[in-house]
Amino acid sequence: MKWFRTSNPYVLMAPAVLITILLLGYGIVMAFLESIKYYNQPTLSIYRELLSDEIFITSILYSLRIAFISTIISLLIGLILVRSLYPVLRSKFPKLIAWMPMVFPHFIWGYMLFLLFSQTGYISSLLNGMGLHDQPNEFPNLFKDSFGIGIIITYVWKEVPFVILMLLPVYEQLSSPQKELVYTLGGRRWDVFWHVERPYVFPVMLETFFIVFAFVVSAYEVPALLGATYPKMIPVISYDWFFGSDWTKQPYAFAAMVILTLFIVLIVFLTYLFTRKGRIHLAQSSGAFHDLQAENRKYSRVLFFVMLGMTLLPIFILVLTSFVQRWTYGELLPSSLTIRGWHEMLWHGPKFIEAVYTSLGISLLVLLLNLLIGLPAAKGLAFHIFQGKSLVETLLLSPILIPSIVIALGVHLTFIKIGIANHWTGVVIVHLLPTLPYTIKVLRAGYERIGKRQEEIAVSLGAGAWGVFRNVYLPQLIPSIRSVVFLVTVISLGQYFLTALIGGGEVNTMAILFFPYFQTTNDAVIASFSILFAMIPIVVWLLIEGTLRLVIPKQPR
Amino acid sequence: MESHFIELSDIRKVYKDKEVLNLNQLRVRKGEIISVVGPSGTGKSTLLRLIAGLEKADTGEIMIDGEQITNVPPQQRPVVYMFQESLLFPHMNVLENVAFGLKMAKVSKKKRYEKSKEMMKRVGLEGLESDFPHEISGGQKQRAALARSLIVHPKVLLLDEPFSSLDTELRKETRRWIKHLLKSENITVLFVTHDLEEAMALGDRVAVLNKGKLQQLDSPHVLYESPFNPFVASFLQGGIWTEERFIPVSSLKLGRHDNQNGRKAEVIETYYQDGKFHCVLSIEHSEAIITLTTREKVNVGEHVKVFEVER
Repeated sequence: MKWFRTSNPYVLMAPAVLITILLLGYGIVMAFLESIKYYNQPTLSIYRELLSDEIFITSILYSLRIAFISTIISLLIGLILVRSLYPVLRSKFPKLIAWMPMVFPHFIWGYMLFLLFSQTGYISSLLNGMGLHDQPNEFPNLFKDSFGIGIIITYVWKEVPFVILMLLPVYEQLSSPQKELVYTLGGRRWDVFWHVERPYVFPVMLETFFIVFAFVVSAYEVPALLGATYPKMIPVISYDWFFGSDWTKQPYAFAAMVILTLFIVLIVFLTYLFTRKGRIHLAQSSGAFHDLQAENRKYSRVLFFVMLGMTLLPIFILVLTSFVQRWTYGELLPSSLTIRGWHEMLWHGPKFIEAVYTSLGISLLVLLLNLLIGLPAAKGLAFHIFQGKSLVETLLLSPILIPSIVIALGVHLTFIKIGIANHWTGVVIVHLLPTLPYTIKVLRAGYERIGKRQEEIAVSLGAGAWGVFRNVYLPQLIPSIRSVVFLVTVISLGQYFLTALIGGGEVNTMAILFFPYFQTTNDAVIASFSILFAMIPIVVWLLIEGTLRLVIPKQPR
Repeated sequence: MESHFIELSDIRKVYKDKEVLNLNQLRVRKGEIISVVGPSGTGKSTLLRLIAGLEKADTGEIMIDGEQITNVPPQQRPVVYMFQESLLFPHMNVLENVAFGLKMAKVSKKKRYEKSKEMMKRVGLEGLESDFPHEISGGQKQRAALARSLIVHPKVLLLDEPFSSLDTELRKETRRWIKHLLKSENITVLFVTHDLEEAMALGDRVAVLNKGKLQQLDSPHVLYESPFNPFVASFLQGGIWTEERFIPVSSLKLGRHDNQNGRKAEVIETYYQDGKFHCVLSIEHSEAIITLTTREKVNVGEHVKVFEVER
């Protein structure tokens, strides 16, 4: 690097932009071509057929309804929690509690809630024990029901921490002098919310809405595990068509996902259009912390304990279940405990161990690629103003809005042709899709918090590019990298559809193993296995932290 | 011929079709402290950033100590840049911050810590080695930042409003102390400020910039007594520029009687200081604003006369 300014933003962003355009653009085009049976005779007949099929329409509406309800409820609960708890959430322990559900992949969390709320689950058993009902089937059937309550509960429970993660930085930066100003000018609490909070909070809420909605409507794992046989969500139908025995149905899978994609794009576009007036472009906040005071201080303690319970109860039940030998329905606690579940999984299931290694390896690789591609891109977005910046921003965020399933379906054939399907390389590449946008987002915020002046000082004092990165950025980016580690590994671990599709049965990750075993094996084994899912991100973090210690100069504390 | 330590010639810098800097020539002698003043947005900071190499000029040459550095990357320039905020690295303690430049020069740990401790002693930060930046005061931060800059023995030190985050009293104290230190190190300094008093107190010579162009570079006394052009005169509020010549404040007196032969002026602000009433005056039919002192109280809004006295 000859010149300081030659850290050209286009060069920094090139890898991220190229990989996104290649996968996304190519995937969508190919998926569409497959859906019109391009290789035989192009026709839109499948679309016509699907859109006049009542079952398919029901499915679409069902998917949209579940996504809407889950997203709105998550946003509301998240907003209430953050508003009341943000001063509390600054300290370590409450933060840890709020984040904890994020360590579990969605379907594992779904399984945990299943243990709690199924007709033979813990709550039902507890009510029975208290004599409130006699039979398991008197407990409302929340899972595999046609309204999808179990799915909604799972998503809400899992997405609330994500909403908190998105909103918390906003509330931490809200200026209390501004609030006081509104009060001294005669404003009431509502005015404070409207004039001080809303302009900052609303854009983030909107972005969160898009992300959560697009995710819920197009994810396969949770509805596949907890959904009813009718109606099914679109991703589940697509899966059945694609992997079903009748291969002539495969184009229907493509068409269904293409239609769903169009719906998401349409909804995002319309929402964006209708809320345009309300959004204000806000300058980067100074980031100064003020004395934080929540609005509803009275309830914050109560709310925190509710949150604590809601987080710990499913985890407690999962851990307990992994040690259960016998647990009679109606009893508060299991009558006998054993480590047989763990033992069976670790020593008598070579498949489990293989899956753990495969998953660990894949998530590590996905993570490393994320950091390699994401760090320069995030720096480019944080510190440079250039032509087409908003286009690049939208492009890099789009893989969380466009269902990764449709892209994976699109690139599948090509991956087979170039020989990376049915192999971990292909799996690692598609896992970049749902992870890279988060990495760039988190790291960008990290860079913006540090600012670029420290770099200029360092350069002026003689530091080269590597010296600056190692001594100035890396040590201060550790919190962001930690978030990236957990986000990326958990997302990668939770991919069943993408891995099954691109891995083609050859790449056996933990998710691939979990699905067929769910409900067919002993609960203790599956529960132990589920706990491993949460251990992987922690192990990966320890590995990364260890590596960073070697790279980053020692800090005398 | 006089030798110049820093020499900038034909420097031009354009941002988005707007010319921010256009210097024909700027020459600084070794060991000199140059204050750079001018309205905001006149390219003062750009000037420093060009010398530091943090930005590249569109045309022109920069020489330091007889060496052409126009194309030398910032890491290798014998120049250190300091910002308005101390910008200590928040994740390092004070000692590590001070030692940073030596570390980048691959000086062994033992030696760099030894030298840094010595430097910390010189700037009066003894005992704060293991404190972190958030644990020390604003003035201490600036001292640490200065120590960090001086430890690499730069030929040129560039200070970009280094005191603006300090309160008035601390500012004055810090600037006296810094001048003493810089002079004893015989270091060449360019110092950007928007505070005229500070510029005059610290600078051996003062460079006045306007719209990217150097208006005048002279000692404070010369600037006030014989500015080159009306801009310098009005920017320093140093006197009245008439069609034919310049009358410095030192040759002006305030009168209140109509029979006196002088220029009409209106009092726009008054304050009492150092045993005198200070009147800020707006001269009629000109944009000049000057401050004169009197023994008697004058009221805001009052119309007075300003006349020249023989010296």
